[in-house]
Amino acid sequence: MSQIIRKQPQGKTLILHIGDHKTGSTTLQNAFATGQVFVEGARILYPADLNHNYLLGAFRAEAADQTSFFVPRPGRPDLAQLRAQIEATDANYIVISGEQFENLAASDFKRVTDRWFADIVDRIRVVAYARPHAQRFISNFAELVKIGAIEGGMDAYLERILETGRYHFATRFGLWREAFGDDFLLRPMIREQLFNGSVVDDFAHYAFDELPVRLGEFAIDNQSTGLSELMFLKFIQDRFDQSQKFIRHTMAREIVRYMGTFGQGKTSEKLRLHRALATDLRALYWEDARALDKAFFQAAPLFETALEEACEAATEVPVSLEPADYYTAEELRYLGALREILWDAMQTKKNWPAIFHNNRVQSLHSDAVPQVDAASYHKPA
Amino acid sequence: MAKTLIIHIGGHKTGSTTIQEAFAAGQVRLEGAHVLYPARLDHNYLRADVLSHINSTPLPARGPRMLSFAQLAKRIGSAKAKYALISAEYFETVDADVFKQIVEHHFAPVVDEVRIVSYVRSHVPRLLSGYSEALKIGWFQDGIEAFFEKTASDGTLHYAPRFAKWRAAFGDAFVLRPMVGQQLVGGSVLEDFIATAFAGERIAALPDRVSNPSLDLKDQTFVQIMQEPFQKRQNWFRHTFGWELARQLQTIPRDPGKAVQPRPLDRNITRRVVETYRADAAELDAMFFDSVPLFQDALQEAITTAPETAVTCTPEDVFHPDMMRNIHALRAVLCDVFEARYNWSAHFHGQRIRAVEHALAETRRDVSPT
Repeated sequence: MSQIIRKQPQGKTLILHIGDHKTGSTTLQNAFATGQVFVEGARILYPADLNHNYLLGAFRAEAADQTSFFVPRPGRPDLAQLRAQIEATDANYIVISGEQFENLAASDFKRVTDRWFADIVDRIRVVAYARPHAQRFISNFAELVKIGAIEGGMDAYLERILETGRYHFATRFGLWREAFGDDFLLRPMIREQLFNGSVVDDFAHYAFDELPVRLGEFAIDNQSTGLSELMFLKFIQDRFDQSQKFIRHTMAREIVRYMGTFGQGKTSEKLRLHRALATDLRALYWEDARALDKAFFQAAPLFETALEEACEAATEVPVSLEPADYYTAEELRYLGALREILWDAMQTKKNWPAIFHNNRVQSLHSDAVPQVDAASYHKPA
Repeated sequence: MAKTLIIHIGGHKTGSTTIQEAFAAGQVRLEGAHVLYPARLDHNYLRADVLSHINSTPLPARGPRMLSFAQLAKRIGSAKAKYALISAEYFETVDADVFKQIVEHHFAPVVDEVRIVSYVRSHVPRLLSGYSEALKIGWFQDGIEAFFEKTASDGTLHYAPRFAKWRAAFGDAFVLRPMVGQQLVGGSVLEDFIATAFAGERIAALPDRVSNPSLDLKDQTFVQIMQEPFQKRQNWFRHTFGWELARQLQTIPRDPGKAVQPRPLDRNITRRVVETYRADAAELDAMFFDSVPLFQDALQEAITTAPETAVTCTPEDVFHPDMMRNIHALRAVLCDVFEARYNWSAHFHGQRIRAVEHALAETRRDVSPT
């Protein structure tokens, strides 16, 4: 007679999800913040009302042995409160998630997590997702347009990222592996490679030791903004100047969130690279893609193939980034009037970023889940 | 020098804003005579003073530049200007006898002559313009037919009995001008007003723009969408928000390739309107316009020009689904924004005043000697 041996959670595990940006972090965080991830035979603690991006400053200060002036509040515990919660909990898994952590040096992150948490948990795991270079490039650029943080086109953006080395994944993730060894897990943000084709399913599957997982209903953050939607947001952002960075960011998130509640856009054209830029990206990141595939994905040519695919999907000429090419003068007159009223309201001395952020949190935790197709996520593991 | 007070009492939707903004911005000048216009925008705020007079209650507190009847009289009495102008279309709704008491009490002692000037617009355009305004200020969200029924029952467009009272109270000092056909001097309500109110004076300067033009069909649908979530907010919020929306729309040039499409009134409703107001038009013509059938002809013409079928203009007819989504998303964000504790009504109204004051400063700069 055969006996089924079921896996059991082992001790107390702290799981740190560090992004990257543009790899489905918001949807993942929505699922955890609303308690919609259930692991069979295990309990999860997610100590935040949204995510842990707010801790970036505290991590930086700690890493530099400086004092952080972060003031905690409900739903946003500081490091000391987190430590106390983790110590007190009988949960098997504690999840901390912030794609902003991608901006920290792995060694600094390790030093801070060791200092605050190593002695109170049995294991610390770090999980990251990497999105293929060209796709990440487009997605990041679109996000910058959306939040009004870039003025030039995609070619100008390429100049900007070349200075940062941000897309040299093999080097960056190599440092995380160096810091955390086998406790660092890198997953490819490639739909066919993800468990059940979804980042939430994938994370839940791999982070919780492949225990059976059930997902409830949660708000899916649809990052795949169509080109005409993007140009609408650009048109709004064009009224604001760079001094209002946080207003622009949080306001854009609110507009996009509301757009999501009104269903999908009818115009399906997406932002795409043009051939020359795709070719440049392939040349620039070819070696990095190969190194990443070799180091993290058993030499399966995932990131290498993705660069090729980006070239094939590219347009012959650059797509227009002028709102007037997507909306008639008449439509822009209406949007212009609303933009002006919104801009004017934003000039009143209110803490709009906090108000927008608070609205987002409240909306997430309200009973009304936005009308999105969550059916594909509603499956037992 | 004899001093004349002109009181412009509207009516609503007859170009009052154009007259008021032109005087508030100092854009109207007469050769050899000065006009005192003691308001930042208009005198509609005097509603509180009228109610206070009727009810014998104290005046509410308000800003120092919103002069009461008594303060206005003092100001006009001490001014050197040959003319003083008070303008509020709200006055058209005041009982003429009550208004006469106010005028006699406050202004008769300080001026030599008082003239009351009003405009009256033919029934069908007035109905359409009133509907557009009601949509704009968010006080009405239903269809044009419902608006017709509402106005038919509240008497807004039954002109003759109302103006008869003004004539009875003020005699020849009450002048009613027809905003119909080709009757206006220069084809403009502002020029006509100057010719009527300051008869014999020559115009030195006039502005070149019309204020608060009626919204076209698509604009009306747009403001209707925008006002919909604010139906539970106070009238004054919706009023000022609607004005701000329209002001912003007016500052952005229209696509020159697209013709402005006024809202048509289909033949069936037009017939009902004509039947409702036929007697009123005849009475008005007889009483004020030497029986020249100005208002009767205007009604007849409305039937001739009305389209056979009704024009539908639901939001879905007017805007592409993606535009609807964009508008709804911005509207939702604005709803949240206007939830913040702040006097948004005062803010919107202030925007309008600031725009007029900006124009006034420009006028002063233009006319001051260098």
